[in-house]
Amino acid sequence: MLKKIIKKIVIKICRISGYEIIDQNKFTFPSLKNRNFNDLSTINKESIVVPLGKVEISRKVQKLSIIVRTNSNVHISDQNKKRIFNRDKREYIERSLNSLVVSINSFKKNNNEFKIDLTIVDQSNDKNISLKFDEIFSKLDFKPNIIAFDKNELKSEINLDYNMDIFGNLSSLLKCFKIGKESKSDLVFFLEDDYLHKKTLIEEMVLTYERISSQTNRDLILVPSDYPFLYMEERLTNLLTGSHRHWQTLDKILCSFMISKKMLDTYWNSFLLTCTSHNNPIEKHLNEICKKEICLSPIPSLSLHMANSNSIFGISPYIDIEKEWENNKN
Amino acid sequence: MKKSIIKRLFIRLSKFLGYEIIDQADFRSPTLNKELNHTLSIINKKSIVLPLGEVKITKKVHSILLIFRMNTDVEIWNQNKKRLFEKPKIEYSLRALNSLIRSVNSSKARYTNIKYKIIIVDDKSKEENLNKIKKLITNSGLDISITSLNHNKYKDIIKQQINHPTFSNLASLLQSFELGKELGEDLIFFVEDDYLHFELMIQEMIASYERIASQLNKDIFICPADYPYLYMSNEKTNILIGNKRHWRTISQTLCTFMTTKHLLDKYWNNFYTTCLDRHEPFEKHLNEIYLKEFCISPLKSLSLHLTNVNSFYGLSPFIDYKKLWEENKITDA
Repeated sequence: MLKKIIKKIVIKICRISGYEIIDQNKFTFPSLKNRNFNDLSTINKESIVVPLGKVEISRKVQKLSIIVRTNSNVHISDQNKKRIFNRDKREYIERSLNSLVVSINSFKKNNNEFKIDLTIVDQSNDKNISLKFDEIFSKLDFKPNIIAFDKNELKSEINLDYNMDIFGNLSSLLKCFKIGKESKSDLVFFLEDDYLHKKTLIEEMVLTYERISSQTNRDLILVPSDYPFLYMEERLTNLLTGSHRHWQTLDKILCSFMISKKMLDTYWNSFLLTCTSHNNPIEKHLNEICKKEICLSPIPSLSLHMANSNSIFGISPYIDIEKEWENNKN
Repeated sequence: MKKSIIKRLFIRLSKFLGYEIIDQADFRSPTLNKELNHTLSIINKKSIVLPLGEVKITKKVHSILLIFRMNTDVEIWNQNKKRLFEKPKIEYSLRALNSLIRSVNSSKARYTNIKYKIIIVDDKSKEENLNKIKKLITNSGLDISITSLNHNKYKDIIKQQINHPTFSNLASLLQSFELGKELGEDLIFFVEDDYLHFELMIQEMIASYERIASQLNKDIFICPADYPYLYMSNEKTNILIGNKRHWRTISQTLCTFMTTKHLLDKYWNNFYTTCLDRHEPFEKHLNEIYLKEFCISPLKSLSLHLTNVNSFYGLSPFIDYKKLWEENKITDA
């Protein structure tokens, strides 16, 4: 009886002092009631990974803007190849957005106060696609901003032949970056329309951002995909523990990534340079940012880039691609 | 019809040339006659990881000798701390051996041409504990033998230690290394009795060894646990593609690792010297080897080192400890 009372007092003192205790006999967490080993973190407060301990969240995230660019008219920009499963581009867009909606809803379920806005920059100019958007986004508890984008809008800012596919690609990218620049969110997540996302994507991206950004006291770039090019040559990297998996540092990205609004402002010129001419690679100026800042991708992948099966920027290793594809059927 | 004949001829030609082809529309490999989400690798022949392609296996595996070092009485050597779950040591030894048996049996069922043998080096277990271990062995269906640690053999070889458990620890390690040197043929896996293993551990260790050693054209060391100390510093690493998971290069191990007979012979002096005295760290002379040879550990862990929850060399991140602990409970021991 006395032991029980003392235990309760110790737990209370720990709580007041900001410590968490682990009962290693039962492997329970008395100061964190009703929490499981893989669910000990509290957004904007603390990130706990056993046995690596607790990180006080000093870089809090209140709001996330997600900006997705879609185009059902171009199968793969600048290439004649087909994507894995050889389907019509519309199907990739639908499944990609479906998976995103599932991930947003899953995150919001436990973090209702967290603000998310979603913008779709659509170049499809297709009524059927618009109807599909309505159907898919009806599952969200907020209304996304869908922009029917005309590449003419930014014609004067891009030094390229207007009729080339790449022009459309860069103009929609520039539009997305500009929307991100105007955003009032802490984090901006730029996404393309050919990624399938795991249900935990948004949760892990936000919680991992908070954890590692607070640990390093720096803003970050997070890429959701574990690309095959990372394993094509000998490369030294740092491995970090995110909220639920390992993450590795990298110095090359594609155009799907999450970044802090602050970093977007700091490197705005690099974002403009990415879109105003045809660089080789397209992400050349973004990669220069990654050389100066901390850029991370997950192990294993949180999103699957549905490219051609031979692409070194495509499907991630060790992911059940067929399962992910089937799970996200509309 | 004509297209179908041409397709079939092309598949045959590809097979003849040793290529595998992928039908990305049907998500199948016609040359392997398998769906792409099934295991595409063939042990001792080729390792295929999508989309990273095929590695011809030049470092084939024919046998694996597992040497399980056991002390059912000493709670944690050199420490007063308790382990996760705070049970008597025999409980850890039993579950560790049970998980190893499960993992070997799973590998044996899949890789039928590989020879498996387990030797337990027992450090004077009480009869009651030894009987529990023997019962587990009897029901295992595996080739397992028990060798008692011969303290006398080593009393003039190992320097005098501050206490008997330290001497015993060094002696059992030396006896394990000597058994590996004497009886090992191909892969040798030194395992301590406080690790719980996932069922797929042995399969993944063997298949990843084959793939990575063949790619590097070098024998390597493989450690089954992803220790927390790896995330306590800013050390750079290489990430490699194993059979079904990522692996990383490391420069330190504990005394649970797998290597080849060739590397054991080549670095015998380091193995032997490790056991002659208590070094700081204990594995100092083993760690010297990793300056010259590749040593890798998995992301995420294949085995769980059941130490105190605060140990740097203990519990791996992102593993459901309780589940693995419960899965390896022995009900009739």
